[in-house]
Amino acid sequence: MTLRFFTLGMTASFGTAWLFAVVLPFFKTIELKPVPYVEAVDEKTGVYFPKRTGQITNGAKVYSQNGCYVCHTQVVRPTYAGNDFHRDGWAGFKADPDRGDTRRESNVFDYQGEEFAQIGLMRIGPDLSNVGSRMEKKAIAANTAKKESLGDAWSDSMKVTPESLLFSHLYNPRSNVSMRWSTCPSVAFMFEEPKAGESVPTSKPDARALVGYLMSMKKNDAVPASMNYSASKPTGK
Amino acid sequence: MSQDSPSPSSSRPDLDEVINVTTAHGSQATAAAAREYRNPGADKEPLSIAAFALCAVMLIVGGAVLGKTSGALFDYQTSIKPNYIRDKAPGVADDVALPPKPILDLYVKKGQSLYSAKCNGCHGADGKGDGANYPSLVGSAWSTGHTERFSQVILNGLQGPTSTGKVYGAGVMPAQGGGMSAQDLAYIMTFIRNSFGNTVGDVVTAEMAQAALDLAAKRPNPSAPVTADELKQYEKDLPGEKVDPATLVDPITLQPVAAK
Repeated sequence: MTLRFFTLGMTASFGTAWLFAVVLPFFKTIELKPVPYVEAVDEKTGVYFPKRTGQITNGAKVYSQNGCYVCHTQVVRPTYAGNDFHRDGWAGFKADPDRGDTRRESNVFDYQGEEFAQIGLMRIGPDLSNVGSRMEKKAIAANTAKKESLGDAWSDSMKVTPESLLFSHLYNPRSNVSMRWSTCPSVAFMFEEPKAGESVPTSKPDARALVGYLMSMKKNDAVPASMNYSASKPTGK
Repeated sequence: MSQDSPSPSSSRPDLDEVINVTTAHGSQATAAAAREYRNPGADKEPLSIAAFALCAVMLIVGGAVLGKTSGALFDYQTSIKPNYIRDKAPGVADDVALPPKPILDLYVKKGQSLYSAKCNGCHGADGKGDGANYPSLVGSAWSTGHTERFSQVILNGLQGPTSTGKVYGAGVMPAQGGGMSAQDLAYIMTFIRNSFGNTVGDVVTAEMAQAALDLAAKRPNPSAPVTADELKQYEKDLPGEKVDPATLVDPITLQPVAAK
């Protein structure tokens, strides 16, 4: 076997696979077409075509640079492929007070505008497809509980924001007593030196971009009926 | 004791020509080495290239057949199996119906967010206006009075004196009807009539609000704001079936639920 024969053979066998498994899907998915709403079933017209802007793009870069994708995924699988759908808050909420059942599977638009679809490598930490919605719900619950326990001593300045929950997690993932077991690494280098009495110091731009990106993770928006796989989806009359 | 002769093609440097233990050890062959089996494939290629080619052809043909028959195997446009419908959560009740609420509460809640977007800027978060430029909605004879009159003020705007006869600094309220659906108008009207201390206690339904939109469209000069004079012809309630404000409805579909 000559070196020439060997090289050609290797290139052909790996190249063909690469062509069909990487290049072809890339060109087939890069130009996403908006999904139209059908008025008879969706009760609205127009198209489904979510967009992202600004700081979220920078945050996605920080996310990948710091390897968050090694432990956190961003994909909610259909029920035949896994149980993500039925885990609390992962796919959306089962009983959102305003919208009812907001759960849905990931779709291709969830990764639009990302340099890489950060679907992740392993699930050591929770899925982040809906971390923004989860944090908002958590902040509301925390504020309501605090308000009830404090009564008249409560003031709006004591409000916990969903962002502050994320900053706290990034600076020290084990700061919350119920999270002492967490193996998530701290990214304290994205924060200034802590001053006395400060539990979470001032954030640097990287941390703010990352939190902006994480807060944008609300992948439970209503989709057209053609992309809705619920058994009780609207079918029109 | 048998011993293989060294391979004649010594120009090939591959180890496979000398991996027979006895050959490799040559003259130092011991009894232990001699007991090893001779490797029958030692001098051959690992596998004939024809066998590789045959396997490749079989794989390609097999893949092509699968792709053609299954339909979705190489379809990169869809990420979901054809005809996929979600399974219910195993073992637990998955269909959680939200607890029904009185229709009035829901309309007020929905109206609140619309109010913050459309009306808050002038009439204020407490509905009291500022007393000089923008009138108060609290206790106003028009906002708490006949629904038809109230609806025309919202939809068309208002010029000149308000219900108290006072002309406010802003002079004219711009029309809010642009792009407003009947349901939204119903939410806003119900909210204003039942908030900030107003306690009319009735629900303006979407049916009534639709009648209001039809009326506004029929005005002779639809782009001009209404005046106190014009409003005199609207001194009645909007037509439509009245709804008991305590009716329990589903918070999402807003359809009445059967009382248990």
